[in-house]
Amino acid sequence: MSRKAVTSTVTQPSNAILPSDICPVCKRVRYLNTDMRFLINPECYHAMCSQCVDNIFKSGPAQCPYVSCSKTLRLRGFREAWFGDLSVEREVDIRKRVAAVFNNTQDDFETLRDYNNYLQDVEDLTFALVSGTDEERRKAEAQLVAYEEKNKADIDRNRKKGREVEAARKKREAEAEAASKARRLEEQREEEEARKEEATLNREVMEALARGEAGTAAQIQERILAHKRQRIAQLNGKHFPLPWTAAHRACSKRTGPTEDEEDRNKPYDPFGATDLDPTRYQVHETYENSWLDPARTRDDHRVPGYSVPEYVTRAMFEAFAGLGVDIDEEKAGAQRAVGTVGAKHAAQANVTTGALRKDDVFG
Amino acid sequence: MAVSPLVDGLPNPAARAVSSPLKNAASAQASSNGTPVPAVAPNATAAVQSAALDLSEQMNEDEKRKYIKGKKLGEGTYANVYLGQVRNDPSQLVAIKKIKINKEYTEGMSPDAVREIKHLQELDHPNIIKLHTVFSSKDQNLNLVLEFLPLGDLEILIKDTANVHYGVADTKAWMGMLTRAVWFCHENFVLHRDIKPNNLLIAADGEVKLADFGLARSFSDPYRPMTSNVITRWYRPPELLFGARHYSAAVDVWSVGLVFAELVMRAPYLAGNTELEQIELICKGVGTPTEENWPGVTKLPEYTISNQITPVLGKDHYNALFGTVGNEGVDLLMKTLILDPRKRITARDMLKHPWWHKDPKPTRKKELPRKSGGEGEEKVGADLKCRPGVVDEDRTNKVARKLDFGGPL
Repeated sequence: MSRKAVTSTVTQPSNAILPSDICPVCKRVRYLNTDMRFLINPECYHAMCSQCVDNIFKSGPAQCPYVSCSKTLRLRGFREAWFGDLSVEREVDIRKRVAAVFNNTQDDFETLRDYNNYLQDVEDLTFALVSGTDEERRKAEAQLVAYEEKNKADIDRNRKKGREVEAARKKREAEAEAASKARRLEEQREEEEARKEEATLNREVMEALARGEAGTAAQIQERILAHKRQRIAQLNGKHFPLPWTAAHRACSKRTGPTEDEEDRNKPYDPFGATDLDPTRYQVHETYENSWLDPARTRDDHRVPGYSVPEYVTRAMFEAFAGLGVDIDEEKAGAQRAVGTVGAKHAAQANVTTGALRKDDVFG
Repeated sequence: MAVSPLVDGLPNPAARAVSSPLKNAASAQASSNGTPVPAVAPNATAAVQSAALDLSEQMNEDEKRKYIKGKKLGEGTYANVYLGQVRNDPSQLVAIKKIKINKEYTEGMSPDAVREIKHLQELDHPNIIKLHTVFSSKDQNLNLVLEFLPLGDLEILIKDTANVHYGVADTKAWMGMLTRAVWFCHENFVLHRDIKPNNLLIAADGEVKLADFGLARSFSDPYRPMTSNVITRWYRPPELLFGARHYSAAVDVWSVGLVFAELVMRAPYLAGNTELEQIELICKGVGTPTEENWPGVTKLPEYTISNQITPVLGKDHYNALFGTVGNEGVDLLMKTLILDPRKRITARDMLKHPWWHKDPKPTRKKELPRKSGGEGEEKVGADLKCRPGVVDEDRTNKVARKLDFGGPL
């Protein structure tokens, strides 16, 4: 416990905020003393400028210059505050001190409940020290000191262990940091190489073009790329996609996706965009017909899979096959079509829109 | 489907590149679908020869004149394939498949050709080969004018492990196109019944197109049997191997699942040399069909399994073989390879599966891997001239069984 114990009689500083411009003791202002620093003493957390501290405490311990404070302070105890809010500064100091004494870890307890109880006790004590009444604070202080006396050996051991754990953690972090740095460098290097590769590729393509090799520029490019990919795959003993192909594509002059690409991106339609479902009638699951019953039940039909629904679908189709066909219209269309191909197409369209299916190959 | 009865037989071949093929194809049938063909004034060139021709022959002639037949791309027992050009726009290429007169069907057209025309003319989808038109040439030879798909087929890509490399995104893109094609067929009540990698041709822009509708038929009515002898054996589902006569679109889904597996493994997943061996392989590679996993299966006419019963294989088995497509992809594959066709996923539900939206996104068609050599043109020929439903003999030494079309279609 290197830090001096906070005495039980510390009162909350009335003005808990660290002053920034005017020293509350000597009323000097920062405007005239640009290098002004404010110091506190953990005895009472009363802030004053460094010059006041020098003046008052240089010649030995003296009383706190604050009117309401009767603490005797020493020069050695003064330091700069870490937090602007001095009540926080004080709480942190207290917690540091308590944590240094109650430094057991979960491994020191048999059950989680024990550990939690311990943490609860520690927090109760800390709370009493931070914001309890004078009475409570005194009691907690006494408890803390008593515990420290009693478990000196354990505390030392835990502290040593804690330091080791801390050192290991630091080492681990340093290693991870180094590794990620190396990775970053490697990536940079790869990128650089890819860029160089692309430059050589472009040059090769240009040379090939200049030599007047067969094929379009795109074909030459494709060929060189394929060749290169093969070479790299051989070198590495495995295939990997070229990192620069995507970038390379992006460079080529093209505004929209070509028809080819659109075709490539379209989802595959197993039916090939053909819909053969009947549009003018519905086929039901079953039709009651005593003539069909033996076909459903007789072994020579049933066993090899003769399908009555297939028959019914065909019967339905044949029954309705003429629907939507107007012979006069077709003939008229055909008459008009004489001589011109375009008119013929029109006539055909006229015919097929009315038909059930696109069926008459020679229409 | 054939909603519009309009016959656009206008006397201006220049204005239109294609015309209704069936209506002009077989001379006797031109007006048999009940649509009166408007009397047209024949154009100048045709007028000279038109004196002796009736209306349908006249239209056939007009159709034929739109194309110039080029070099032969391939020759087979069933058909020859030629490269063709549109007369008015020589930059447009087509493949002309000339069906040979078949000894077995001297009375009329071979059923494969009828099926192909009947269904292809109704189906218009980016992932299904386009039939531009049909005409007959001398000796009543049938000519199918098809889209020209120069980049070979998926089988070439799967087999060329040395030069073609592809990943999950590419597989997903191909599977997406295949599944859409099959879904479109099923929505239009067509069973393809021969889905396999070498019927998946690749267009110049990378789009996969389902071709060869020589075994296709529309969904059957109840109580009308279909043949169980369809779909190339390696891709044939268990219900067909067990001789079922009444089946559903689930048969195509099984084939799609095996194409998916083949795309991932780059080898056929279940490649049996005989039907019995094929059943055996399904038992081992998927699980043995039993009453538990497929109620009633034992009552199927040709239900034959060996004594050793393999339980239906779990996800870990598929993960080990097909794990590269990811958890969702394996889930989708397993659902297409469910033994019981009633529980098997439908093409529509396949397209609703979350796998399509998982990473990686399907490759765009122009970025898909392509075959390395220039064998595409020959391959178009080879693919088209081939009789449907037969395993390519190069892939197995055994000669595949010839299909019997005598039974109910």
